[in-house]
Formats: sequence, C-alpha cells, structure tokens
Amino acid sequence: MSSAAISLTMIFVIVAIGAVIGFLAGVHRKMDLEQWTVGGRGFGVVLVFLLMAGEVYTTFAFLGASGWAYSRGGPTLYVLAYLTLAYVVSFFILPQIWEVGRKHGMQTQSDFFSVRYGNKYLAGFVCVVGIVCFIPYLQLQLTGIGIIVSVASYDGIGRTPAMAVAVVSLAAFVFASGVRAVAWVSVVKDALMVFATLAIGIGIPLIHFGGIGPMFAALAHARPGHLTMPGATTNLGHAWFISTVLLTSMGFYMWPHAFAATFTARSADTLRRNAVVMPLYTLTLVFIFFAGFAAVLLVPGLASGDLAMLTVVRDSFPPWFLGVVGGAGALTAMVPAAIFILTAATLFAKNLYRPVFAPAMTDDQVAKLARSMVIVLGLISLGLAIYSSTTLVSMLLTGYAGVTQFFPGVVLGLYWKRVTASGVFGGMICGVAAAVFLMLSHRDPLFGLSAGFLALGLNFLITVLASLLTPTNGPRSSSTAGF
Amino acid sequence: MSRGLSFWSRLWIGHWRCNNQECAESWIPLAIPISPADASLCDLPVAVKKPSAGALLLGLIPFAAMCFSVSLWDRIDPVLFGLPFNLFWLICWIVLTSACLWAAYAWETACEKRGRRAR
Repeated sequence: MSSAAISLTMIFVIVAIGAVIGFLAGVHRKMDLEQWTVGGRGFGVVLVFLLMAGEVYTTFAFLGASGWAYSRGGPTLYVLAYLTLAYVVSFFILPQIWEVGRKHGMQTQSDFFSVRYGNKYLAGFVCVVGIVCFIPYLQLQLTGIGIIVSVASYDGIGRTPAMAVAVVSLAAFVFASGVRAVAWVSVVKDALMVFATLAIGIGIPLIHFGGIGPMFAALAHARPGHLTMPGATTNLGHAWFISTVLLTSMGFYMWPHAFAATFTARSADTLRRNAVVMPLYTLTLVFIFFAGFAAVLLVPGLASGDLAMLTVVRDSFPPWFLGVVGGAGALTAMVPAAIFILTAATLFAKNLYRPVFAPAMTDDQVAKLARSMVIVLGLISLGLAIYSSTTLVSMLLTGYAGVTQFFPGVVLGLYWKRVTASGVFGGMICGVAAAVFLMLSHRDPLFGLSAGFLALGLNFLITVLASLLTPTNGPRSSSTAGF
Repeated sequence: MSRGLSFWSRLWIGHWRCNNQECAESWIPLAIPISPADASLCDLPVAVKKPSAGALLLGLIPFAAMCFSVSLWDRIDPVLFGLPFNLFWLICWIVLTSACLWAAYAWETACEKRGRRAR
C-alpha cells in the first residue's frame, strides 16, 4: 500500500466511525422540532460540554491557528486570550439567556429577539445576518477538509472532490439525527483531537529540535521578532490585540449556533459549571501553536500558512499517523459544519420563512422544511468553498465582525429595561453596515484597531442613544418581556 | 459537586462576607447612570437574575490579565520552562481564569442560598 493509500484509509475509517455513532444517536427517538434542534432541552454538563467543545474547536483551531503561528507569529496569541475570555462572558449571560429561553420556549437566537423586542423585522434581520455570517465559517470548515485530504493524499486528490464527499456525508447525518448526533460525534472527535494535538505538539519539537525549549530558542534566534506582536505583520500590534480579543470574546456566544446550544442545557447551573471547566480545554490549543511555530523553521516558504501543520506532520511522522491527524481534523471540520448547517436551516425555516411567507405552517412542516434546507445549504457552502481564496483566520474574523453586532441587543435586552426595539435595530444596522464597509474597503485594521470592534462601539453608542430618545415599546413589550 | 464547591468557597472566598445588600441587589452595568427617572417605564416584570457584583469583579480579573495588560507581558524574556514569556503568561491565565470562574460560581451559589433563606 502506498503512503497516500494508508493515510486516506485511516481518515476514511475515522470519519466512518464518527458517522455511525451519529446515526445511532438519533435512532429510537421521535424527532420533532424541539428534539431535533435543542435535544429536548435535557443535556447535562457532559453533553453540553461536548456539544460546545465540538463546535468551538473547529478547523480554525486545528489548521487556522497553527497557520497564523506560522505566517503571522505573535498576533496569533490572541486566540488563546479570546477563547478563554469568551467563557468569562458566557458565565454572565448564558444562564440568563437559558432562563428566558425556557420560559418562552425559544429554539433559536432569532426567537430571543422576537420575544424580547416584539418586532418581527428585527428578528428577521438578526436571522439574515446570522445566516450570512455562517457562510465564511462554513466555507472555512470545508476548505479545511479540502486541505486535509489533499495533503494526506500526498497531493493526489484535489480539494474539490474531497469537499463534495464531506458535504454529502455531513448533510446525511444532520438530516437523520439532528443535534444529538452532533454531540455524540464530538466524543470521538474530541478524544482524537486531544491525542493528535499532544502527539504533534510534543513530538515535532522533540524530533527536530530535541524539545520545546530548544525549539523556541532556535526560533527566537533565527527570527527575533516572530514570537511577539506584531510578529511577521506590520499592523497587528497591541491595540489590535486588545480590540480583537474584546470583539471576539463578546462575539463568541453571539454565533447563532452557540446561542442555540445554550437551550440544550438542562439547567442554568449546567451552563455556569460548564463555563468554569471550558477554559481548560483551551490548553490543547497551546500544543497546536508549538507545531505552527516549529513549522516556521522546518518548512519555510509554504504557499499558505494553513498548510503548515499538516505538512510538518507529513514530513515527521509515518503515513498512518498522518491519517489519524487527518481523520481528527476532518471530524473537527465536519462536526461544527454540521452544527452550522443545522442552525442555519432551522433559522431559515422557523424564523424567516414561516413568519414572512407561511404563518399557518405547523411545527412539523417547519421541521420538514428545515431538513430539506440542510441539503440546500450544504450545496451553497460547497459552491462558495470551491471559489474561496483567503486564509482560514480571516474568514473567521469576517464572520465575527458580523455576529458580534448582536451583542448590544442581547446584553442590554437582558439587563437594561429601557432598551427599545428601534434602538437595537438602529444600532445593529449601523454596526453591520460599518463592519461591511470597513472590511470590503480593506480598512481592517483601522487606526490599529480591529474594524469589527470599531463597528461594535458605534453600535453600542447608537443603541443606547436611540433607546433613550425613543419611548419604550407599547403594550406588546410589557407583556412579552416577561423577561 | 455543589457541596464540594461550597466547602471550597468557604475556604477561598468565605471571608468576603456575601451580605444580602450587595448580592441580592441587582447590579446593572449600564443602567446606573442613565436609568430613566420615570418609574412607569420600568414596570416590566424582570425575572432575569442579575449576576452579583462579587462575581462580576472576579470575572474582570482575567480580562485585566489577558487582554488590557498585553503590553506588559508581550515579550520573550524571561524564558520560563522553555516558553517565551507571553506564551507562558497566557497558559498560566487559562488555568487561573478557570479558578476565577470557579470562585465566581461559588460566590453566586452562596448568594442564591442566602437569597432563598432571606425570603
């Protein structure tokens, strides 16, 4: 058997095991909309942890973070800070969101806005922005799978067919078993990912440099500026770090899927305990950075930083191990991608299509429509991934700049009675518009600050000012904000 | 688990005396300076429990350490355990953040218990 065949077989076996576990999780349960989207609201600490860990540690962490460590250096440390601080933010908002969600039977993020602000246009807008922001994130996962398969096949298989197979299989298991499948596949994925990460992060520096310490010493000697900010860049300094960490840690749970994962928890307490444990999971990322930094000296001059980690693994380990890493990476891309597709499909069917086009639809019909949307969304994202060219990290940051614009509406909605629908709507439109404008005109970072952060500041300002200038909502809000 | 935490909370932050005035009273980040004088605007039944001030302070510590103070720790020297100082600092604070949230959890649990007893 050739090296490529060995590593590809390994990847296939791992993904197949994941898929079987996914299908089994959904058997023997009646799949109504509630069960499919929020797992019957009965997940305890362990399942919520797995679900959240499953969606957090995506290809972005696996290939993107090491890619930035390789190509940018110091600025990549923002990943460690923002993931950890995101859980601090979650401690103070998720239990409250859960309480409100249970009281009003919420299943999606858009439900939250519709209940709190009693404005279906605002809820629809949230829904559209959420779905649009998923696109770069989904694209990121599929591109990741493409990279993994093409590196693991020793460049024998192109990215496009690999991504096509991935889309079909993930749409199939989401279609069949919903959110429960995703939580259980995470078990396999997380175990493999931790194993692969530790082996790579410790093994590569050990093989080539004799340890992690000597590796950093060699890197600091060869590229003195690489390990601190701004690293290999000119404009990603400390102001960028602070603004990006604030933006992304606040935006983390504003992703519609992360928001919806809140509703799967059994109690508010589950979410608090989860926030206590989750930061520790960030430690696995440190080992991924080791591999990325080692690659700077070992495989200089790659076309894209995103290839760095796998290329180093391929050059340092036997093919079967490349297959294990590739399999872990493929599941790491497919699990989150499945969640994104699931969330976007539910959002589309329940919060956009039904309120606007077919108010008479029953929950069962919505569930059916959501399931067919899974296939449609899978195909759309595949099409986009084939034509994408940016790095994995910039895809993620683009999505973040958009979803974080929900933050003022969520936090003020929970804690400030005076906030009004018009205030939130106005702030959000300005925030999204500012983010889109700055990103499209390549003004990110602006004045050394992340563009999304500037947009968020504007959003907060307008939300507060406009809320103070407009009267609190009519009788509708006093009844709905039984908040 | 909760019994274990309350034991540790007594050991860790027990001396902070979580009295009702501070804990039961809501602490609203933005509303203090700009809340409307007209009470009729606030008659919405707000059932969401606000985090206590103590827990919020504990939550601010990681932000100060990992985010705002970046220019103080973003350097290579001193190299500790073979790691550049910025990486070493962040690794330490990943663990310490978990500890801060643990303390915040214990604090909130203690506040809840107290609130229930007061009622």
